[in-house]
Amino acid sequence: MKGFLLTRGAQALLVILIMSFVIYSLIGLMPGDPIDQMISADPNMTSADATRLRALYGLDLPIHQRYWNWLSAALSGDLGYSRLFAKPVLEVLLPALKNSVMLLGLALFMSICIAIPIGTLAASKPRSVFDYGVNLFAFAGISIPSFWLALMLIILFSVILGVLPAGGIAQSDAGFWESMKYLILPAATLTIASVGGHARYVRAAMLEVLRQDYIRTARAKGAGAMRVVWRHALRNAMIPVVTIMALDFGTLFSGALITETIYSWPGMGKLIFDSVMGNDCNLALIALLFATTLTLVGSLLADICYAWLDPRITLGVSEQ
Amino acid sequence: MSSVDETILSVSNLSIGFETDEGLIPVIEEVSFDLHTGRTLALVGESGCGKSVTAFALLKLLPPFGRIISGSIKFRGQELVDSTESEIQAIRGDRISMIFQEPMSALNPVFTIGSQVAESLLLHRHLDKKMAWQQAVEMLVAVGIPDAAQRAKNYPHQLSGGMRQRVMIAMALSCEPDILIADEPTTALDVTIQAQILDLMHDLQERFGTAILFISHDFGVVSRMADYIAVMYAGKIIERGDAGEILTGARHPYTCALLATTPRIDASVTRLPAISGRVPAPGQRPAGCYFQPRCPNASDHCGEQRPPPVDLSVTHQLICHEVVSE
Repeated sequence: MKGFLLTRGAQALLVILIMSFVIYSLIGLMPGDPIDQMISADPNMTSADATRLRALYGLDLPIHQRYWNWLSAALSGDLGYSRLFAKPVLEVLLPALKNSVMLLGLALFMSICIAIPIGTLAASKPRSVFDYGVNLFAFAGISIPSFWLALMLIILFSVILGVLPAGGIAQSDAGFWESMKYLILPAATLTIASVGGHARYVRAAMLEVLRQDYIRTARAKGAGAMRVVWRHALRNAMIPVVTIMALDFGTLFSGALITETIYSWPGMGKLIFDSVMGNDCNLALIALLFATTLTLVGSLLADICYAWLDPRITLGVSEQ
Repeated sequence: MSSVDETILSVSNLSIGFETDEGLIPVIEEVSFDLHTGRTLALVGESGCGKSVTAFALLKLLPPFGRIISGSIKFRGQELVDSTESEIQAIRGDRISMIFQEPMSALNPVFTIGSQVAESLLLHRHLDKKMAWQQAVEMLVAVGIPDAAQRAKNYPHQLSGGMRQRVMIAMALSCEPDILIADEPTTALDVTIQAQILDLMHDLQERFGTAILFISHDFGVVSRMADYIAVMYAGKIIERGDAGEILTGARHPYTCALLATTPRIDASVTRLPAISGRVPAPGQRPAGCYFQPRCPNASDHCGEQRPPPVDLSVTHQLICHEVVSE
């Protein structure tokens, strides 16, 4: 286990390093740099001034040298300033990250908690009314555009019923329930959008497992239908489902742009969008790197889950 | 414990159909046989002749599209055909248990073998977990798993195929059932392991007095195990008798052909004979005798009428137009 974590940690660091170069280069390829922004802001600036400024900021260097300068600064703890927010990058990033994790974490948790039971029940009675109901519900959830659903929820709960806020986020000193009020509608929007897909994954994995020989063995042993499904089948069916959930874990940290925008929820999706559109290179770079890192963490967690669910999978070589 | 030779299960005129888009197609037609305590009945036939379907029907484990059309399965006087799900659940794994062809896939990969053997005891004997585990380890010892106390903590993938089949047998026999249904239990194993597993089943049968329904396509294996043999073809039993009567005195052309395909160590044939053609699928069974299109002895009326039952002795019966009792 220790050896496994060390190897995977080293691999992850390497991937992050490579990704930082890739993201840096991609941002470098974008038209416009900070000096262009200054030119458009100040009509009196001459091209000589621009050249001088480019040399001052090191923007005239070839991209690998610029990357190297950025990397050495970043490794010594200087992640730079956000040009848009005029604050150190981390000060802008961390609150947005916290908001996104809260919102998407809750949505993913709700989605899993609903999808596993309904997917399992649908698979244990295929072609039943319940199964068709789950399918219909799943496809409705997948097909409804989230912006439309968000607007409908706002109209119903904020405008007509007036019980929930239409958007924004609670003051930092607000109590738990007050904060939750702001979370409910965006979380519900995201849950409805993803629960159908999850339920269908669970159902498909479950159907596959229920056809296996060991399920017949369990029935021949005298296990009842409930015991067969919830004890013998579910754990096997979870193995493919974990993969999907782990991929979703990565998206927790890149935010949900549309939903966050409609509900004015200050999360990562909105932040990354704004930083890219505003040529805020420092912020965009770190925000994207964070999303990459946490996606890697997600897949590491998935591997640990596999080993826990399936004894045939051992982590590393030292286990046996 | 019941005495040897007592009839413990009696199947009579059992017919089973599969629901398809074209309607209910008969798969098993009027099958009858008895199982006796401490004795082995072998059900023999090619793939697709309905052996396994018959076996699964005894435990009402037919696939969702399978239906028992008519007939009766009487176990110790209790009618299983119209038993409720909870009644049959109490019998499964306790009074009648089953082992399967593929020991590789018949065990659940995510549970230890000890817990899988103990589960039957938990379900039927209502032991506490510790007692069930202890008895499971004892069962593993009984089926010849070395170092059973440690092995019980292993997962199926850590065992060889032969060992896994031993685990299946331990699981099946843990509640000392009256009947063991063995669906081609040695087909997936190599020959030396086959012999060990057959010996093990034999020993355990003597110890517990279990009646065995042994399903196989291999007369070599059947000759080691069976007291009685019933040969199935296209969903019907076409010949039955004591093991000796069938192995040395089979009269049905199909049984004879099947016996001829079994490799023999004392015969000097260079090429094994094969039965040409294949078992007709359910729903495409011919008129008259089902074997008639492949039968070397078939004459015209074989394709017209169902063959009559012929009694050759009190125990030896077959259905064929061309065989007449002396």
